[in-house]
Amino acid sequence: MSKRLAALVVILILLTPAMLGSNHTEGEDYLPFLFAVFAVTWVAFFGYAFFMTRKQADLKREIDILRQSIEESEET
Amino acid sequence: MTEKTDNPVRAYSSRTPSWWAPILAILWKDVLLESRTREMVMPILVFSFLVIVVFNFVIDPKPALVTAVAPGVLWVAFTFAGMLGLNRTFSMEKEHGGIEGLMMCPVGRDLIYLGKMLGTFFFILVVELIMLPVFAAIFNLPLFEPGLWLITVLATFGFATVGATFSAMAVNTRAREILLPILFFPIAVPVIIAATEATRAVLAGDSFGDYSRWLQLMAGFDVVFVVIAALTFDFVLGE
Amino acid sequence: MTGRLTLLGSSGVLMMLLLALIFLWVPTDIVLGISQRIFYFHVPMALVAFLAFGVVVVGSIGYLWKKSERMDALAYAAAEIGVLFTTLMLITGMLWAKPVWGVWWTWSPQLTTSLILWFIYTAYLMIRSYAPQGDQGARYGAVMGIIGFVDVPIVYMAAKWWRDVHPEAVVGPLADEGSLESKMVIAFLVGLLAFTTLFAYLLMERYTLRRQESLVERLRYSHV
Repeated sequence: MSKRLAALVVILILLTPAMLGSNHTEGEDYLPFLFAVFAVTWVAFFGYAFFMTRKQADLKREIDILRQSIEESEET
Repeated sequence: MTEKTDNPVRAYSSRTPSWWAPILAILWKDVLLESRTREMVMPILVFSFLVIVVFNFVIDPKPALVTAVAPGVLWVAFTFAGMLGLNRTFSMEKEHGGIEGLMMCPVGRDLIYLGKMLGTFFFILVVELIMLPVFAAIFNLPLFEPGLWLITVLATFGFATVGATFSAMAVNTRAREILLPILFFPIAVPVIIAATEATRAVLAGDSFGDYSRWLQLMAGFDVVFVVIAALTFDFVLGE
Repeated sequence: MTGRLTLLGSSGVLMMLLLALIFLWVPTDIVLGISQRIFYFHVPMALVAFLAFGVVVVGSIGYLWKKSERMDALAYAAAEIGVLFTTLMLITGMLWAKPVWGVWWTWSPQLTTSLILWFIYTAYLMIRSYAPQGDQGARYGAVMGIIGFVDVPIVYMAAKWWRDVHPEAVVGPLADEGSLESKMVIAFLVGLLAFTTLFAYLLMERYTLRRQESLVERLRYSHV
């Protein structure tokens, strides 16, 4: 699930510089701030997707442990 | 103490409707407890006094500036005092098993809430009413403005409404002293803003119409949240 | 499963469309210059942040009323994502204000209310994580959600009246509500749609994850 989100994020990151190049009008010192906005947004969503992946992995590990202990207690 | 004073429920029940009695009983219990031990009013008073004194040292004591920041200083001190007072609302109950005792009463949970909330309200109000003359003396401000008292009553009631609920929640957690401000401050922001601005208007001599909308905001806050908090208190206490 | 894929796909497409509009289509604002394009990210995220809190309160009321664990999971997921959007909204707001007006922060009613919203979200998540085990965390959170939701409009009113008394403290593009050209409106609506679909997708994922977490917790306690 987060692999899909990561793919989405990568596509958007690749698209951004291509479009930034088309602007050479006045006020170019605003561009770093515009860049920062996009960068922060992508990092935040990417980070959240990563956080959810880690939680999913932890849960999986916990389910395996539980399943093991259930099987063990059923054997006894 | 005569039997009549010890059991206000019986003393009042012949005259008051049945839903007032438990509220008054809980309120009276808290008042009695505080008046006998006096263990909370004094330190909070001293603390509020200290806050005002510290503020005087950290700001540039030009007279114009002092008058300008006086409302803010007052309400910062009152907010901190309110915080300490709210801490106390349920901490003693928690320590001595009073919460379970309250829950076992055959009384609606919303009435328990109202009793505790009113107890907190009066407690903080007493501290503030003692602090007001001290504040007026230090800042050379008029004291006997009825507007000031009205603002204090409305704002303190607002503090007590949401504060009692949050106090009941925080007391059950592992970080109760630090969690209560985190819960309380964001919700109480409108009251703090309104109280400060209204105080500023009163001290500047503005007409009532100028600052009446701040009073309306506080009154609205009080009504809305006393209802919501009373209705949800059942969920806060749990089984 | 397919529902989730469509959500993700459509939010991706909308995002790309939004970027295209922002960089290739909308006119440059005369007053604010290029940095005004941040508006197409900043305001939709703000609206989604408030929408998320609406979901939190719906879940909270639903949980208290029906004792439904699904409602509680919904509230929790919406709160986590809401805090994400609110944080982004505040940061992008600062990145917008600084180049144009030279200040990082301004006490406009919108920003002030959003800041308080951020604190209310944080309070919600903290009371849930610090509450003792069992359903107390869910109950406390639900009460906090309801109180917080009712409080936000009151905060906005108070902030607005405060701004009227202290106008010099409030400055910047976020303070004024200028008029928008039609192209800007369209781009803004696309942005709103893009971020709302992204929010819906994230909400579904986090909700499912949260329900699995609760299930595992229940299993753990019933078994140990």
